[in-house]
Amino acid sequence: MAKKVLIVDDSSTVRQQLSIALGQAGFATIEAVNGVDALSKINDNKDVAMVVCDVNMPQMGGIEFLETMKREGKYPTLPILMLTTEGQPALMDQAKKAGAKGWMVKPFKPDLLVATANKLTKSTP
Amino acid sequence: MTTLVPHPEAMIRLHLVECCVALFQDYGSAMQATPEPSTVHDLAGIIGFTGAHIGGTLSLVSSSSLLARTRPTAPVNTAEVEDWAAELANQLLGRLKNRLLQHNVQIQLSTPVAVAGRHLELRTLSTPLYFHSELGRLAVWFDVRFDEDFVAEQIQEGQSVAEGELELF
Repeated sequence: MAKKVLIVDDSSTVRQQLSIALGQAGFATIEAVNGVDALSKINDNKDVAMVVCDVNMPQMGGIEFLETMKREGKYPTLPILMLTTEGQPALMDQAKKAGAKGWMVKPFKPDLLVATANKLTKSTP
Repeated sequence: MTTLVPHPEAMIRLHLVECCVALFQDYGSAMQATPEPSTVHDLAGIIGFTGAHIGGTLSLVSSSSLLARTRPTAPVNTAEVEDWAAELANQLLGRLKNRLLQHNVQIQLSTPVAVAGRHLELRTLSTPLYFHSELGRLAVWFDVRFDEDFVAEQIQEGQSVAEGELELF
């Protein structure tokens, strides 16, 4: 069965790009438009194997989403990869402390994304 | 001893030109700076930013046909092109933000918006940067205000992950 990846980005273009790249590599994908939507989608999809998450989003950004996930402690082993235009070391440290497993700067390279997804989901259902 | 950049706005505009060329190159378009103005504007991606002693707005303005042709997947409706205009503005300012880190300047980005309309004209005080490629022309307005305490340092280490690269934790 295909592993499910939750894509969180306020840009429909980026969600579409990610969905195509991951879909072609055999992943199933679902989408959320911000952190609030992502929390809801995770609760409704317990089989999510990985999250790819933007940082700069309206309503709830990626760092706040990470911190909420950590605070609630429901999915401590769910790998979260940040995908963003940001390359600020302080922001990366913040994400790392909040539990992110990696940081990728846009625009993404499909091969690198897929290789990372394969690596991060190796031990997830 | 720290050496300061004497003309920060000129430095930022130079970075912005390089960032814009590199951004469109990543999306398959050989965009180049040009002194010739672009005139056909029906779509803009606009994003604000703020930081210590600095703030402003970046506006990327062009034709929807050019923007549609640089979109990674062909758009099926105007909403997708508008989304792409906003995302391009976001990615352009993101690149600039990462360059500014090298000057010890930190800015925070707002979320981008797209504005569509016939014969769009921006009424701003700044001078736009113009670009052209085989796909057409675009303009970038960079409206920035500094207060008197603003400083930008000469280049040092800043961004730890480059565009398209990954760091695993």
